Amino acid sequence: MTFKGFLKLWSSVVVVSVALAQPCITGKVYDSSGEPAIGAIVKVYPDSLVLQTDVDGKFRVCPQNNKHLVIEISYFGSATDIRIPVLKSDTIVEVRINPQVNLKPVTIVHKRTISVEPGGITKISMQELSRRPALLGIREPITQLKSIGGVTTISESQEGLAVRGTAPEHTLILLDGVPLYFPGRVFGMFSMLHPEIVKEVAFYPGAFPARYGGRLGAIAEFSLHPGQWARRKISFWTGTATTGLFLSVPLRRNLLNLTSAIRYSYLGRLIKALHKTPLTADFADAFVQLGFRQKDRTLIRWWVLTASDWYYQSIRNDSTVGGVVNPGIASALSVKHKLDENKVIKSTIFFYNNSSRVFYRKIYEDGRFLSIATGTFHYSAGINTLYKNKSSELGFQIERLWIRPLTEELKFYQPVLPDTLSFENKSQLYHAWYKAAFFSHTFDVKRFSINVGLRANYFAQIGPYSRPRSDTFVFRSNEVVADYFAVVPRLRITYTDTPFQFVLGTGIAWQPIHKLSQGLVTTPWDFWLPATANVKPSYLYDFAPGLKIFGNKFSLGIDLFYRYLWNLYEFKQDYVPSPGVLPETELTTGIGKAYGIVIYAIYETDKISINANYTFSRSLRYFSQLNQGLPFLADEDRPHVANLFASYVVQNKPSGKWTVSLKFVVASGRLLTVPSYWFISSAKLKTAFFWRNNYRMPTYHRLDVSVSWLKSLGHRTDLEVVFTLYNAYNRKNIHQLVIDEKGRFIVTGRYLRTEAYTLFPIMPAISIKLNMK
Amino acid sequence: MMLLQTFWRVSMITLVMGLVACKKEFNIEPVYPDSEPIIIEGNIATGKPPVVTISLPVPAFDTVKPEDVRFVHNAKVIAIRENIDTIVLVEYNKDSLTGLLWTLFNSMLAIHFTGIETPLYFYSVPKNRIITGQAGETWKFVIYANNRIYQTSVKIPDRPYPLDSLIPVPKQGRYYILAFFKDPPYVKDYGIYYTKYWNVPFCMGRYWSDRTIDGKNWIWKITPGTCADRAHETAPELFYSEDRIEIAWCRMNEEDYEYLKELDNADDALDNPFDYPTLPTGNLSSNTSIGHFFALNCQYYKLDLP
Repeated sequence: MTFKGFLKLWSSVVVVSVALAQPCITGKVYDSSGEPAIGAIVKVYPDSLVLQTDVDGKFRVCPQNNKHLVIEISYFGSATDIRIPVLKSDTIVEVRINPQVNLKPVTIVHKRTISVEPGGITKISMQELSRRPALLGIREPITQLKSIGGVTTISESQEGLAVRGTAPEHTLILLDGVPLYFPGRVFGMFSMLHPEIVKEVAFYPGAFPARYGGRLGAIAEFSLHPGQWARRKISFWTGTATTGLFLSVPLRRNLLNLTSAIRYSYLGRLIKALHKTPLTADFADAFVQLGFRQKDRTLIRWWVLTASDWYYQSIRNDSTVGGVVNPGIASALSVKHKLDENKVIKSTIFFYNNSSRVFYRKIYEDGRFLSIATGTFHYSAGINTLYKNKSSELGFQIERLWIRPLTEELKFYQPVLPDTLSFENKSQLYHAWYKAAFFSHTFDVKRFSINVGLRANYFAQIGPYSRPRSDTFVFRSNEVVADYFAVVPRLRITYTDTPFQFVLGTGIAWQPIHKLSQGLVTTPWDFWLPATANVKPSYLYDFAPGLKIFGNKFSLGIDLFYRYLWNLYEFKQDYVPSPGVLPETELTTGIGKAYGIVIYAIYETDKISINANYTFSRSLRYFSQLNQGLPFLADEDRPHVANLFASYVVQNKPSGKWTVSLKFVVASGRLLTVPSYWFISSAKLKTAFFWRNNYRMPTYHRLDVSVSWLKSLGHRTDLEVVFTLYNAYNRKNIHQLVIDEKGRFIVTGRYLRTEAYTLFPIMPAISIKLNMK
Repeated sequence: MMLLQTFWRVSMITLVMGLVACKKEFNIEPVYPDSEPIIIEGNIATGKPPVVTISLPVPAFDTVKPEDVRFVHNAKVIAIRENIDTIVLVEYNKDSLTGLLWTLFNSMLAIHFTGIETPLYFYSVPKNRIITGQAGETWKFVIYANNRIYQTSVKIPDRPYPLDSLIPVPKQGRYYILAFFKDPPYVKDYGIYYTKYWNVPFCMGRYWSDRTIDGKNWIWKITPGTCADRAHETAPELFYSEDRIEIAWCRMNEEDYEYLKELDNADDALDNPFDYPTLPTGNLSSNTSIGHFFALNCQYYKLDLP
């Protein structure tokens, strides 16, 4: 069908629908925990209409036949139905899907594990993410999100999620309402999120609801495994790079449960065995959760997640040792109470810390001794509360931040000198408050659903603090140094007419904290800088229309986006990291814009699952003090990204279930700033990084394949064996370029020799998992 | 910080190497916008006339030889001393210098690079009006080149604190020199030294910030500068027996230190993806140029090695 033809069909559908104006059913579906069931399948008989619930769990349908209506609703393998003898007028229904209290068994359409709404809002279960092949068989929830439409972070060691032309720092990653500022581990290849503890993720690539804030670009909210209330569950797995254990037991049936998980990697030993380098690089994490619930109305959970990665090496025997330790911890106490079937209040108190430290010690042959260490320090603690009923949400968020961007310690002893050189240099400790209140309401008018939201934000940097390069401005404890207030609107209009759904999302987002990287890639020196008198909060205006066409087994969507960003910050072009200088004085400000299109298609049956997406995205920046005042492409600019995931159940018999999965990604290369010119300065031949992001690396593409075998061993015990082939056709995707100066200026000439480093060749991995329920 | 960055570079490269599947030589063709920067650098030191060099850059991924360096001729360079003396600098070709002028310019700091086979052009005071810098003087420079105006102003700092002693230390039949000194406390003095042996020009040795050694007894290991002929020999950090050595022990301004630090950081970023790709800004009022003007106050020490 041509585009013109499509428009014609679309407009005729609209006209006919409006003209008939038959009575409609507006419904809202909740999952077992009372959350809106996004992407639930709704089938309406006898018209055989199939539709999906939207991001608020809502659906609307206007059937032609108004007698003996049966509405079947299925969601994550659970289902229920509603029967309406005669539909005389517009009707509102509310449905709660509860796997343990199914009203009546009905035919399950299929186990849908991923749903994508117009606007790209995606909800994926960990079950779905776990089906996808992963590096070394480690199914990292955050890493797996890189294959979602609109995400332009592709390669293994890029941390975070760059979404629709914004930077990874603009994506808020939440775990059960707790912001994770440094979720990545080992350069972003892995994360602090243990796959077993995550239930599902809701991903908002833009124009997100008013209850989310503090970031510009996108939201990825991971919800925790609820724990086992009736029956214990134990999972143990071991694989090529990690071993882990998950345990969830009801301490008091349906009243109190305990969930814990632990994971340890032996990545370092793998590296040592493969490459014989004097390097250890590993990570580990542990999780404990205690849950209490009463009469299905009140749920109280307390959990702690701690994770660390470390890498160190001995250079030239043990007289030189250096390394990095990067521990993090997140903890929360949450209370969720249902006032009645439609009203829920949830409150979470949380704490988060990440402190990285780089150290180096060297003993010289002549007795000199050098010890240096540096690090960053990040604490946050807060409370957030949400009240919601059928159509409204109301809440607030308070967060306190303590951040020390850089510390440096140095000790240097020389036997021939009386003085030992020793200093400890700490950049200032930043104190800040972030407070926000929000309200949103959804109006249902005919086929339209209009969600209007407002979010009021207040951010204050407080003392103690000394203003940079000035002794005259010293602020006492809790004295406000600088504060910012912003009220930002959100609007989302959904128009549904089966099988079409059209959405327009727009709004303004506000970010009062900026992540600054002191290198081209993630380093342990990266830190979050709160807004100060010198550094203002960033803004983003989002405009994102989207169209979705869906059926029983497939959905197809097209989203457009345009984003305008201002008050963006980057280091000045002459920046050299130094703890003696406050980073806020080393920044320069600018604006940016991004635009593009995201197309996705999903096809799911019981045997086959295909999920494909393509993103065209451009992202530009304008900084008067960077790139000689000329506009430049942002680091995140990748014009083309396409992902394909497919899985096929080859056999499902008592002897075992065999599934083959593949994941293919192809993307434009990453931008890099490489030297532009030779020049002579201070009597030396030097190179200048004069133009920013002036080189694009070759196209990235990769195919991963996995084969899994799942067998029931009886006694509620399953055995799963997964064989993964990462980078199946051994594509040498370039991870980094290392450039060396070679040759003698006056003899052969001086030139730059570039070496391209690729990280992972074809990587087979195997993991074995035992599930006992 | 530099030490830490060095470690960081080594460790990160090792880590990447640890995970590396393979490495291969690779050709890069970066994008060049239409406009091209101009390189302007100069210095004024106590007892020396001002010197300015103006050149054009060479694309980074081309092999660069001395003959590829394109000097900008016929620029108008004006030096203004203390807002009183205005001197229009004239262009010289290093290879055509003779007599007193050769002696004068051969002892200049930081403008030569050894063995350059193409003529080195620079702008300095005219033969008939040799004016040199003095401590505390402010010098302003205005340059008209490539249809643009560039200007800057620098102030020559106070005298450097003197060395306590210079001690040659034998090693492998050759020598290095230890310079002992006591840094004065609470004085923000940024330092740099240059060395020369026999008649070769001064080459830059090491520079430092007061932050690390403030008020300390300290030792610098004095070596031939990196631009010296001997830079590519085995053990280039050593002098030869009977070398006649001259050391320019100088004090500079904080902005000079910052510029040199930025240059070095840019070098580090070249082969280290974990470093920030610094572009030294310098003190010229333009974003179409690269370069910096130094102001130095130097004391000279001579030493004949045994």
